[in-house]
Formats: sequence, C-alpha cells, structure tokens
Amino acid sequence: MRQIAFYGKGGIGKSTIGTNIAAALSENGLSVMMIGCDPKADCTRNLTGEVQIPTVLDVSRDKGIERLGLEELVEGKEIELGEVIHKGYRGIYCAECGGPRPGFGCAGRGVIVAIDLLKRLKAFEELKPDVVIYDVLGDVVCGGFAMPLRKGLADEVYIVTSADYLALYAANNICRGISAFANKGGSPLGGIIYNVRGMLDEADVVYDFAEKFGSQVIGHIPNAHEIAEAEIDANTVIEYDSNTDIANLFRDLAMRIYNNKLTSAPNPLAPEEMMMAGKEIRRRMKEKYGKRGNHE
Amino acid sequence: MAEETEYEEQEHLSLDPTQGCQLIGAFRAFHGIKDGYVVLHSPPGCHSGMLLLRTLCDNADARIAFSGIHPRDFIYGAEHKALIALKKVDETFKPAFIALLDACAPAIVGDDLDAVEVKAREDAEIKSKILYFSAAGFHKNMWLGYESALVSLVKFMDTNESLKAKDSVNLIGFKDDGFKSVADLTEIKRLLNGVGVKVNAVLTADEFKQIVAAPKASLNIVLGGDGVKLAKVMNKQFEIPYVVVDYPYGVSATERFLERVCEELDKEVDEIFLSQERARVKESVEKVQFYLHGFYGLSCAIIGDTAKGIGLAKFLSSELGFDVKVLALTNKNFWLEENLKGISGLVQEVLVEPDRFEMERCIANAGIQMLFGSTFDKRLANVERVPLIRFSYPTIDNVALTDTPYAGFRSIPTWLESIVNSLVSRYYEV
Amino acid sequence: MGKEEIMNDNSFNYTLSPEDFMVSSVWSLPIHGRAALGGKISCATTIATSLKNTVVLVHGPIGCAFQRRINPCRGWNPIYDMTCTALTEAETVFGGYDKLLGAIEEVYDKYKPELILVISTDVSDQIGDYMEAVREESKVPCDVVVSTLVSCEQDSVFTKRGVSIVRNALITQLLETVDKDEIEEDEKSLNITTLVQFPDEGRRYRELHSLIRKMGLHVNGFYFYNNSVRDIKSMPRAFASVVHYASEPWTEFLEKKYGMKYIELYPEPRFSSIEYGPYGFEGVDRLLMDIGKVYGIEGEAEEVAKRSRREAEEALSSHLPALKGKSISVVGSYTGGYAADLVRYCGMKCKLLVLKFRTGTNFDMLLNEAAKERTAEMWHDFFLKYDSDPEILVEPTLEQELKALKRTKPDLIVPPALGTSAWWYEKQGFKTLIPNRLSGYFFRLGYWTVVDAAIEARRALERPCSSEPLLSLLDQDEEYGGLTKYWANNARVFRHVWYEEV
Repeated sequence: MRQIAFYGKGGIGKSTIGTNIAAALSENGLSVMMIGCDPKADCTRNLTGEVQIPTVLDVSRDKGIERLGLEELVEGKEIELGEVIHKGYRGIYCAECGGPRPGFGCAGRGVIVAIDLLKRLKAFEELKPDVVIYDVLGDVVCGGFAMPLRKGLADEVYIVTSADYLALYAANNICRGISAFANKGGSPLGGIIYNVRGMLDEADVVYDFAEKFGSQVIGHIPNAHEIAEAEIDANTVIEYDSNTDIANLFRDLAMRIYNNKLTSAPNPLAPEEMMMAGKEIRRRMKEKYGKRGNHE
Repeated sequence: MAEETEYEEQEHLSLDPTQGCQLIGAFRAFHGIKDGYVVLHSPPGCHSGMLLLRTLCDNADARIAFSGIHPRDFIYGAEHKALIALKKVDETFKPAFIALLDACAPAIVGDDLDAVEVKAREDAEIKSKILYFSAAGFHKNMWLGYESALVSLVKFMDTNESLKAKDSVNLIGFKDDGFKSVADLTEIKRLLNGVGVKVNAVLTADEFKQIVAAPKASLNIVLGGDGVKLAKVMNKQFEIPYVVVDYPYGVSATERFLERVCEELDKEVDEIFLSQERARVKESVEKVQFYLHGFYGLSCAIIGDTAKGIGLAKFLSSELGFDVKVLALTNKNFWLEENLKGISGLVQEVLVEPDRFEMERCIANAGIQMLFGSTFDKRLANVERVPLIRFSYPTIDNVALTDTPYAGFRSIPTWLESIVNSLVSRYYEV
Repeated sequence: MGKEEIMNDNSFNYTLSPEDFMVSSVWSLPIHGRAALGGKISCATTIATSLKNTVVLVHGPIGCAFQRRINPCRGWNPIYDMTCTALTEAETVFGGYDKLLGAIEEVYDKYKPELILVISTDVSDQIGDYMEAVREESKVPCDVVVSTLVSCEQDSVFTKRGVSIVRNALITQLLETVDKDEIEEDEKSLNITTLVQFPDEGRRYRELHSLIRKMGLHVNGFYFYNNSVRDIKSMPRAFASVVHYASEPWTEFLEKKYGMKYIELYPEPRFSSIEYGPYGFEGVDRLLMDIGKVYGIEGEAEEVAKRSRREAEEALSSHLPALKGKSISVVGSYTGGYAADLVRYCGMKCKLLVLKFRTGTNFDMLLNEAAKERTAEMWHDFFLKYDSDPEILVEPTLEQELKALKRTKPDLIVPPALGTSAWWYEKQGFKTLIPNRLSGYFFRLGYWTVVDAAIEARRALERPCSSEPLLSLLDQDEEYGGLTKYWANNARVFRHVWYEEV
C-alpha cells in the first residue's frame, strides 16, 4: 500500500490535483482511497459529486450519543466502515474527516481523532487500497494537521504551489514541518507540484525553490479552462473531459508520483533566503506588469 | 517582601511536583464559600479527580459539578454545555454563588466562557451570582491559582459595606479542606472572641453574603501569608489594613497572633484570658512531661505549604525542642521571603517547591525519626520507618471529626496526643 | 500475599482481608459512574501501578500528576512516583515534544527504572504532539512505552477504554522487537489476564491457579499483576492466554505474531442468559473445558473439573439445609453473580426481583430500552428454569420497593455488589446478605465462590439484623438507593450533563 499526502497553501489546488490523481490511478486498475483532512469536508467532492458524504467525525459523534445494547457494553457502539467510507467515481474510497464549524472547536484535533478512528476500524487492512491519498488543509498549522506525516502513515508528501510568493512561503513552512517529522521517522518530501495560479507563471522560480529544498518538481499543471468547468460540475477532468491534454497530463503525473522513489528530508529556506526570493519574484512581476508603487 | 510579579510567570517546574495546578488552587478557594458551588467546564477526569480529593476529605460536602465535556467536544467546542451545567446546578442546589472554572482542554479549544458568564447573568432563571474564572492548569500552579481566585471575589464585595464594624476582622488564607480545618477555625474564632474580636468573614470558609460584606471588617488577618494579594487589593480598594501572622501552631504563635491582632486594632490584650489558656496548656504538658523529656531533640522533617509549614517548624523547634532537619515547602506564597527570615537558623535545610524525588532523597539523607506531612508522604514514612503525622494538604487517609484542633491553645493536647501516641503505640521488637 | 507465593500456592481458600473492605469502601464512593466518572488517565495509572520498576510520566501540566495520584480504584492509597512534563502555556502553543524528550532522560537519570510509561493527557492530545516518536528518539537505556489516549466516540462506555489502550500499548510496544523464534515456547503454560487492578489482586486468582496446576499446566504470568518488563516480554512463552474478550487489539497481536491461542472468559454469544460467564459451577466447568480443548487435554480438564466441583459441592451440601426453600428478593442489574448461585445451587426461591440499573452507576442512561427489557426477560427465564416466578419491579422508588417487600416477605434480601444499601434492608427488618463480604466475587474464578455465597447467605439468615444502623440517620433518596438526597442530586446533575445533554 502506498500512502501519499498533499499539502499546500489554501486554494492552491490540492483537492483538484488529489482527486484527478486518484481518478487517474484508478483508471490504471489501482484501488484508491482518498481522505480529506479539512473541516470543510469538500476534498473528495470531485469524486462523489454534489452529494455531501457523512464525515468520520459526525458519524462517530452520533454513535457516541446512542444508548447501547447489552453486547455493545463490551465494545461500545460499532461503527461500520461503510458509514464513514463511501465509494465515489470508479469505486474510489472517499472519506472526509470533517470537523467543527468555523470559529469553534479544534479542527486539528479532529484530524487526529478521525485518522485514529480509521486506523482502529482497520480501514486500510479491510479495504486493502493500493494507494491512499491524504488531502490536508492549508499549512502544517498544528500537530493535528501534521498527523498524516507521522510514521506509518504517508510514505511521502507532495507540496502543491504556484510561483506566487505567498504560496511559496507556505510551501517553505510546510517543508519546515516535514523536515521535523522526517527526522523522527515521519514522511519525507516526494516533490513539488507546480500548479499555475495567480499573477505569475514562472516555472523556473518553482524549480529553483525545489532545488533549494533538496527536492524535485514532479509535476507542472498549467492553467486550463477544462479544470474550472469540471470543478463547477463537481468532477475531475479525467471524468469530465477524459480525452483532453490536461486529463492526460494528470494521468502522467499520477504515474510519476506512483513510481517516484526520490524522496528527501527537505531543507527549508532561512528567512533571509525567503526574503531574497520574494524580491526576485517582485522584480519579475514588475517586469511583467510595469512599475507601480515606490519599491525598486 | 517579594514583588508579586516575580512569581507571576511559572518558573522551572518539577518533574514530580509537590503541588497541583491553578485549577486545584482556585477550586480550594471557591469551595470555601459554603453556600456556593463550583462548576468545572471540563471532561470527566478533572471533575472526578477533584471530587475524589474533596470527598475523601469530607463525605458530606463536595460541591463540584462539571459540564460533561466528552472527548468529541474537543473538536466541536462545548461552551453551550457550560451554560447547561450552570442552569442545572442553579436549579438543583440553588446556591448563592457559582464559580465556573475551565480546565485545560476547553481553554486550548478556545471555548468562550466570558460569553457564557454574560449569558448566565442575563438569564432570568439563574438566580446564583456567577463568576467565570480562567483556571486552565497549564496557566499557573496551585498557589497562584488560589491567590488569583481570592482576588476575583473582590468584584462581589459591597462597597456600601465599607462602614467599618469595630473590632471586626476577616480571616484570609483559610482553607476548608485542610486536615482538622473545621476544628482549627472554631478554635481561632474562639480565641479572637476571647480577646473581644469578632470574625466578620473567612476567606474562604464562609457564606457568600459574608464574602460580600467583607469590606465591613476593620482588619484583615492573613494566615501565614496565603491570600496576601487579596489583602493588598482590599487595602487599596476599601482601606482595610492587614496583618500577616504565622498560622497559630503552638503557644507562642497563638499568643503572638492575638497580640498582633490587638495591636493593629489598638486594643489591650486580655491577659486574664491568656493566663487561663496557658494554665490549660500546662495541664496537658504535665500529663506527658516524661515523654516530652524523652523526645526532646528528636529529628524530624516537615512537608507542607509555606503558610502552615513555617508555622509548624517554629512550633516544633521552639516549643518541643525538635530538631527540624528538613522543611520542604510544597508551594510558595507571596510572603515567602518574610516567612523564611523568621525561621533562619531554626531549620537545617529548607527546600522550596522541590521535586518530590529530590525532596525524598534529601529527607532520607538527613536521618529523621518523625515526619510531618500529607497522605502523599505515606511511602516515604514507611521507607524511613518513622511515624507520619498528617497536617498538610491533601490529607485524605485520616478523618478529623472531633473538635481537636491543630491551631490555637487547644491544639497543644492534640499535637501532644498525635506525637506521643505515634511513637509510643508502635510495635518494637525487643 | 506476594506474587511468588500465589504462583506456588496450591490451595483455594479465600479469606477476606482488611484490604477487601477498603476495596468495598472505595467502590461505595459515588464516583464510579454515579456522580462522576474516572477519566482515562486514572485507568492508565491503575495499570501502570501493577508494573514493577516502572515510572509513569504524564505528558501534561502539573495538575494532572498531582491530582491523578489519587485514583478512583485506590482511594486513599496514592500512587507514588507520578512524574510529569509540567506543560505550560508555552507548550500549548509551541508543542511539548522537546520537553517530553528531556523529561524522559530526567526520569531515567533519577529513577533508573526498567520502564518509563508515557501517558498522554487532554493537553498533549489536544496540541497534537507526535509522542510515539520519542520511543526512537530518546536514547535512555530502558524501555519506553507511549500510550496516547486519543478517543472520540463511545467514550461513555466504562473507563475500560483507558485500561485497554494502555494494556495494548504495553504489550505491543514491548514485544515489538521480540521475534517469535527468540521465544522458547512452553506448551504447558498459560497466561491469565486480570480485569481490575485492586490492591492484592493476585489473591483472587488463587483457586483458578490451583485448578490450572491440577490440570498439568502452569501459569506463565498474571497480567498485569506486579509484572516486570521481562515478565511482559516473556508473555509469548505461554501457549495460550485466558482473556476477558478476544476483541482487545493485543490479543489479536499475540495471536498473529506468536500464534498464541486464547480462551475467553466472556465468549460470544455474550449476555445470552443470566447463567452466562465464568460464574457458578457450570461457568467454571466451561472455562476449564475451554482451556482443556486449547491444550488438547480435555480428559484432564474434565477430570479436574469433576473432582473439584465435587469437592465444592460436598462443602456446599452442609449449608444447603439452612438455605433450601428459603425465599429471597434479588436486587440486581444486568448480571447474575452470587444471587444466581443461591437460586441455581442452593435451592433458594426468588419471590421478588428488583431491577436497578441505577445502582452503583447511572447505567440506565447507558443502556437502551431493548437492553433493559432483555435483561428483565433473561432474569425471568432464569427464575422460571429454577422453579421461581418472582414479581418483577424495575427501577422502583424506595417506597414502592418497601411495599413489595412487605407484601412478598422474603426470608433474605440479596443486594447487588455495588450497592450501598444493605443497612437499609436491615433497618426495615429484612435479613440481608452483606455484599461487601463477597468482595471481588466477579473477579474471582472458581467453584468455591458458590460455597462462599452460600456461607454468606446462611450467616445472613442466622445473624440478627442491625436494627439501628447509624446510617439510617441519613435521609435516603427515593430514586437513588444508598445515596443521601444531597449525593443523589449530585448524581442527577452528573446524569444531566453527561448523558442527557450530549
């Protein structure tokens, strides 16, 4: 079983890439499971359609409230795997950890508890997926969102980023998290996925970062209207527009990730290096969009 | 006196601590309000732990409920449950006052209990006075929690009550869950009455209305320095002077206690009263005089909080002739440095908030024949094969129902009984 | 009694000790599900204190270590050597992992234990420290087991979860590096797992131990009862283990890794009747036969079962004339226990069954209606089988119960183990079996528990009632038997916030 995790700045396209890779791997005859680690519970939407699947935490909360039968006194109320794992496109197993409404509770804690529960339910042993994909909210903001990095979970992590400064800034922070965990037997970095977003499409900026991290750029997803159209339909491009170049690009990326053997404990950039990199990005933006403001 | 700010930040904390977290300190302060109730916004563990500690001290008086936080609430947040618990406690027990304390987990989750306090106040059905006190254990240790909790009560104190009642005092720093605390309080009140002083409010071992009326007193008496922060705040806000006295263990401390109070109140000490009391003490001493001859010079160690530990060290050393090898102060208070000056030279070694392992090793190395401490020191006493006289918190393996105090003049027979019996009743192989 | 003595003792006598009464005192506190519920850390420390040369390291603030020294199962007998990482505000923000690593080293330097058992708290669970990683990163020359108590659902089911999680962590982590071929398996040896860690727990297993020896087997170890790390690491030497439920993860672990067999004390189908479980003569017969089957010594097992049962039956027979035909009122909940023994083996007839799910706990809130109905049916079927057809009262008030008692006039009341109301029945003039005197019935395994139940019933019939018990000075709550109104109100508040307003 191969387990991989996608991290990256919010809105950078982790779920889009994750679900398309899941769909592509599934086409190759692999059994795939996708676990959304975001309290919004919409990571697997492209695989399950508009229907919101019940989250692991909601199911477990509801069961905890029910009163017990005599046999259940021993074990508690049993949760069936089928209640928390749902089949989506091409039979891909989809689970959403779920979590609290915005402004309440602790979403990070939710991820810990949900993954712990999936482990206790023996989700991986029972369903025997070939590939498990974790799609993790935003940044490694706390111990909870680092859960997939722990030993025995993700074999490697992929960071999704654009060439925008803030996306790279987030990627660098994520590298700091990965680096700390990789030294404790946790997941190493498998590579960077360059997803073209925002104001700048400068692949070499991302390649340069990857090199400094001691990693590789494993994929480059260009801007494509098919992706946006498919998203509106809650679909992957693989399903929505199967024969397009962009769908093939995802297929190619999926196999590259699946066959990737190159991993590393990344070297995050020091703050001064990040600042220098920021200045370079600003210079290029000025070149592209003309000089505004008072900065050089 | 030490500046308070020195202690506001937690210093290096021990691996095996001799004191609890601020939740326990705050609980001890609020639980002393006899017609009050404590509601913990916590999971069952903190609640059952506190309830157990309290119940083992007193089977009949454990006023502590909780909001029933389930582990799942750590994800979703549970501030609504705090309100439910407040309502239920109010409806069931109709307390005059409820202290709402939060434990670590909801504090990390970020449950907004300030909002709950406001809602509870606005809720017409809730009749109790509500106070939210942020008590998460990781914020502070026990004694700081205790001090802050006492200060938090000032906002309920009635400024209209500031018309001072003559010769009326508040006792500050009294804890109702100490071993023999009921008897101690009765004795302290008797002594004060004996010299013509009335106790207005005990913080905290009193009804809520007395806490509210605390500003009426003309003097605050701070026992052993616990609660001095409250005394200072009351001094500033209500212009009540305060005096810090040793916990009145033994004859001298009791006399000094009464003298200081009378001095502050500008009263003459009633010498007749004192001489009658001394005569009674003499009778007890006479009855065990030969034991006292024999035990003179006995080595001992004391494990207790600053307020009581220092008082006991003085008594044992200066009145019984014991050699106090080690005094381990399980927690500080804001009067620590002043207190330590008072025992300079009396005690061979003083440990302040020690690590339990290091403390036990130090006591073992000192070589002692008697240990004064709490239930937690049972094993040490057993290992050292010496009697353990329980006096400090928590004492949960001895019940104290009789009116035999450890404080005041009447404490002398009690101490003598405990000490003599603990040695004489032992089985010795000949 | 020390572990060695129990291991070498061939007798089955069970004499009550003062500790037994301390246990019943601890259990009479209304904190075991009535007005409070012990947390998972309490359960974890209960297990931890059954281990030799072990220091508990609580990864949490100082309050956790201070307060959890007092354990709901040990009461006034504190747990010593409770260390902690003393987490503060800073760690709740920045994480407490480094502090944990440092504390492990400090614990080793000071105590030089064989094992450091790290237990998580709500704080460390909440901040999400990757605690398991210290097992590899800490370089102390002793074993380090990390038990994280992460849990979300089903938390209201006992405190068993805490026990189960720690037991699982200890076994799986300590045996992680012990390969099957390193173990010298002993085909005649057996592990016994204990259920609850009371002081002097091992005494309760004396009879079972004796029976096992008579069958030609020997006990490899009691788990957990005063075990060293080596004891735990030699668990796989045994051919099989007696376990409570096979569903605990460590049972599966031992089975998969070492091919270890297991014998369940409570096999499926569970709760099939009141006679279910390893109690009573048939229950013990079944247990011995199950052990025999696993070891391929059915003949020896049958022989030992027959002989030992006969001996116990002979001892029982001298008490029967005093008991046969006497009527009883059983106050029970969902298990049978000694009350069932008195009906099954002593010819006592039940006139009144009072079902109290609220006794000892707020269990009625945990069970669904179907479970309660099924329990009532199981009792009813049981009594019919033994020629009794009692009136059944479910969760009556004291007044209703008293009326029924006066109407049915039983010779003896048999209250439940966790009840605190024997004095109340005596005060009303009804002879009453004192459950404290059968302390630990449910944790003892063997034929002589039946004899002990008979002896206690006989003694209860002979001795005069305590006519003016001091406890009768206290006002009893109508709904919560055995509790004063004040404590019953505490129980009601607990019930409301924990079960009703979820």
